[in-house]
Amino acid sequence: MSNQHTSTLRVPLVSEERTLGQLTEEICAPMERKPSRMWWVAFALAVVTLAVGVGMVTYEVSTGIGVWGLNKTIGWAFDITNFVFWVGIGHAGTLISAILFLFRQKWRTSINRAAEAMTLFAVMCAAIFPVIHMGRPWNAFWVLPYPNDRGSLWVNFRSPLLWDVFAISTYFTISAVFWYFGLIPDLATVRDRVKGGLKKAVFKVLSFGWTGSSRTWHRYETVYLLLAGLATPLVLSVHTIVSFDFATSVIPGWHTTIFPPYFVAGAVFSGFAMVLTLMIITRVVLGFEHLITIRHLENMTKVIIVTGGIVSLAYGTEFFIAWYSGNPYEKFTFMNRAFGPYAWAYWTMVTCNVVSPHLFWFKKVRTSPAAIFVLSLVINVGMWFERFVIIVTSLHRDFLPSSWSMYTPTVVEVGTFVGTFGLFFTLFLLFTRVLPIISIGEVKSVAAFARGSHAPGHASHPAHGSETPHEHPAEAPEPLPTPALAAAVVRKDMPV
Amino acid sequence: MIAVDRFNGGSKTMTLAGAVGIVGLVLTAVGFFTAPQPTMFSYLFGFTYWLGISVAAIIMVAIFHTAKAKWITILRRTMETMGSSVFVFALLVIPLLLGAKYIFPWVNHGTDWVFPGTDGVKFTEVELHHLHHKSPYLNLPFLYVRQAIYFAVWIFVSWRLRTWSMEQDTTGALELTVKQRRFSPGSLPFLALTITFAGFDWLMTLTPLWQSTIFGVYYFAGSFLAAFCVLTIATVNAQGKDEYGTLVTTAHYHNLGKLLLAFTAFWAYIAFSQFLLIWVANIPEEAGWFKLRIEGAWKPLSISLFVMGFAVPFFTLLSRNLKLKPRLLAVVAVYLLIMHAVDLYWLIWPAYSPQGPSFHWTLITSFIGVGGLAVAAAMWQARGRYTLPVKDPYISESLRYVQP
Amino acid sequence: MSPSQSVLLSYFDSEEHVLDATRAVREAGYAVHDVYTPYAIHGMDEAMGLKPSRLTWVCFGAGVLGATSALSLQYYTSVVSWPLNVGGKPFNSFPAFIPVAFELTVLFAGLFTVAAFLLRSKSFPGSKREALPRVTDDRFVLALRADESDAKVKALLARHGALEVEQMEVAS
Repeated sequence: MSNQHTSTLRVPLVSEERTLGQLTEEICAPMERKPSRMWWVAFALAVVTLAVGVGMVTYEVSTGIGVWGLNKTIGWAFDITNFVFWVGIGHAGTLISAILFLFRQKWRTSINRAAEAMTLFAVMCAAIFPVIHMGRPWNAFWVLPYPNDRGSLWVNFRSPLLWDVFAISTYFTISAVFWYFGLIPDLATVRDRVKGGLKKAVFKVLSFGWTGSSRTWHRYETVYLLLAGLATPLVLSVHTIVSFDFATSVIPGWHTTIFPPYFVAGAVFSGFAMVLTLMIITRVVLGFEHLITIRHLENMTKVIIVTGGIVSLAYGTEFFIAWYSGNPYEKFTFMNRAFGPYAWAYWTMVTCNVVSPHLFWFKKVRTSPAAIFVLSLVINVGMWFERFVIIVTSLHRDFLPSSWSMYTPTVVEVGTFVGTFGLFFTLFLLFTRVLPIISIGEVKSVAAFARGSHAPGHASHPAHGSETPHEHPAEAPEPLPTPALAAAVVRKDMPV
Repeated sequence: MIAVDRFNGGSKTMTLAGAVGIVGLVLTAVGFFTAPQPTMFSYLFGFTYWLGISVAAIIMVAIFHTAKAKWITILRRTMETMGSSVFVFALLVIPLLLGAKYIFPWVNHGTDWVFPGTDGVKFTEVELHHLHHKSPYLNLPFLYVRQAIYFAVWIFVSWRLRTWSMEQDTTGALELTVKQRRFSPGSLPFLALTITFAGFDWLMTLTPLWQSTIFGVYYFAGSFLAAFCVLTIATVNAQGKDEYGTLVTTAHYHNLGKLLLAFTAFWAYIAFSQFLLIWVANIPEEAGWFKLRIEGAWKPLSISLFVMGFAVPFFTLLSRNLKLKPRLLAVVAVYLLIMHAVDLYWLIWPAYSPQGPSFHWTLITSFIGVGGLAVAAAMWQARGRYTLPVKDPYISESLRYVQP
Repeated sequence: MSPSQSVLLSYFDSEEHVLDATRAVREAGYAVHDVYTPYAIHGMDEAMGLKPSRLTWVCFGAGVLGATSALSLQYYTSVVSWPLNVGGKPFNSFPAFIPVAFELTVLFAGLFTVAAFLLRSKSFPGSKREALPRVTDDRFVLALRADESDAKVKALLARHGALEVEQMEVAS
């Protein structure tokens, strides 16, 4: 993709010069060397946390969901909060891999693989909660419409919870396919690097006989584009349907029409925060600072400002309409959120989600990995509280004051939630060991920006594209129309 | 060799559009004196249609600057020009404010309102009580203040970005690009808030006892799509002397086509979200707005809006070949503009004619009246200037844009 | 096509060179068997004269199939097989059927397209095909339906930066 005419003002995507061979070498290195001590420490921690989660879930399933803090009034709390939280985190992966691909944002190339993997792991964590909330998870297949000997008694297609089943399972399937599809060429690279033995055999099977044929590449690119085109509306639909779980009800604070776009924006917001958290750790631990550059981090913080702004706008609109509607229940719910017994949760949410992203307006903050890391954690906390506030504060004050109640999570619930982090990090750490976490092929295709004539420091005049012999003259009007049009001068001091 | 100089054509278009606009508005005024209420509803239709496009164009410029989009540079001047016509609407809003009592039932706390199409049905006690609750927002002085704020924001943002952009035509200073890119993200929150509340004010409060938090986004989505349509049509037709259309490549059209497709889907997504949530929840205070539209005489129009406004253009725009053919793309854009008009009619007219779709001749006159003036204003703004930002640092990149 | 054929392989070390060479040999009238590259090269489809893939049609067809299956399933279960009054909603709650219809559209379109791709490019787990040396790393290989003895093509390739030229039997 390097034969595109590029302005000399562009900043290169890969910050140090590398040959193609060096790129292969570097990206494959983490999976070929022995794991570092830090990796083992992290892995041990993750596995221990996972074990806690497994223990809690085992206890819960064998005892019954009475071990949770739910009651007659608050029938949904921690579990669904965590479900929405994890699904939301997954969305950034698809956004980076599909939507940024459609927008031809080339900076996505060094983070998309890891982000997609993150999507898969996050969706796995999310799916745990509704399944264990069923109480009898071995009957989970009852949610599928299959002919049965009860009549056939079918699932209720008018229920948003069933839409969720379809949405989440489709999302997981398509994300997995998209991710694996993107991996095939890189699996072949790994296959060709391995000398022999079991690893070679495994990668040989996994890489589907990839030869790097341009005829296949041509089809591959078409399919990749199609998958991106499918994944884009899919990711929007998933969180839209998650929001339908609440918004189709008649519960004040849940039933509001802005929920679909607002949930999607919130999901992207929290997901990007999670990608940042992971990427900042990964780039340091694996030494990928020149591939996952400050510029990548900065771009993601900008996405956070925008989505954070949309989320804030939605909070404001909801509050305004709650008053404007004149509906006493709506009004009460919103006043109760801000000043009731869960006000602490509400103000935590506002501080983390509405106030803190604005620190990213400062370039200093946007370019400091340490600051971004802290803020990304703050936003993750804020978005978790957003779901908690929506779910619990709306439920705990029922229409009937005699049913008013409070909710406190039990150790089992907290343990299960912590356990999902264990699962997430265990899978992610394994992923960094066994597969190339950066898309080798895609990074190579953008590495041209860092090579020779494409880097700003090397360019002598703006229209260098016309030098390369393969440039189609037909694609560009040449010579440039007027002297005025060619007036762009090379300036390296401008932060354009 | 293509030479681009300052644009001095288009005087015919400008005069014609201006004449049509004035004639349209005069006829609308005549309509007002014969039948004030339907005329005011028609005027609201024409006004919100064209204003939405203009404001959406301002938002578009701000978004593309924020996203640092480079391919669009060649089309940016047209968007800036579309946005610059917003000042005309600051004048055109005045009749709307003066005639507010004919369209907004909440004027004077709803006590004077008689439902159109009925013989003297007024708000009940309970309804009046609810309206009274809303009166801190729904009152005329505050409406005037809000309009002043909206127009101040729109005119300022449009003027600021466009002035910098045109200054660059002569100086070529790179600092101006930096300024535009710094200013745009900061302006977006204000643009988002104003368009949201403008949608509430002009369209949602026609049914003052009904509310939907997504409504502002809905108005924005439709207007944004319409603005892309106008941009496409303008580009296809800008083939004359000193016009930028000759420099536009199929890659640009391909992208415009994709944007039309994306925003057709986005509009449908927002519309469906709003409908489904209200339909499923079926709460009396909300369902009425849709009940009026999906049952009885308005039902056929609602269904055709779904089919003709979403399904037909969506499947048409999926075709890659179509997106590469400027003329065909322009045809689709015109079609979508008609659908946007139907959408606004569907939003506005049931408030006037709940018994079923009806036609009033001022719908046409106010549509062409407001539209004629807006187009004339945009042409007036375009004349004497370059039709593309000739010294933008990214213009050569944009001119040579190929599909990546 | 025969199961295997003899092609002339020429090795390059950069995207620019292999693109130039491909254009040049095609202009000179040689048939390009294939070009093996470590990553997708923009413009290679034009250089090789490849037609746009028809997989988009598979995707569209599968999407339509998914939507119709989903709608029929929902209609059959909710209206025909066991109509049940849930919350006073009509048996045929079309608006409520759209989310599932959408999901299955995407699911079918995605799975069928990838399946069609794998079939068309004969890729499957256990495939015996192997890549040429260093192609998945940093080498670009142009495979021509030409013979080693043809000095003209060798000169042409050398002029466009071929590092090495060899004759080889490949599966077609």
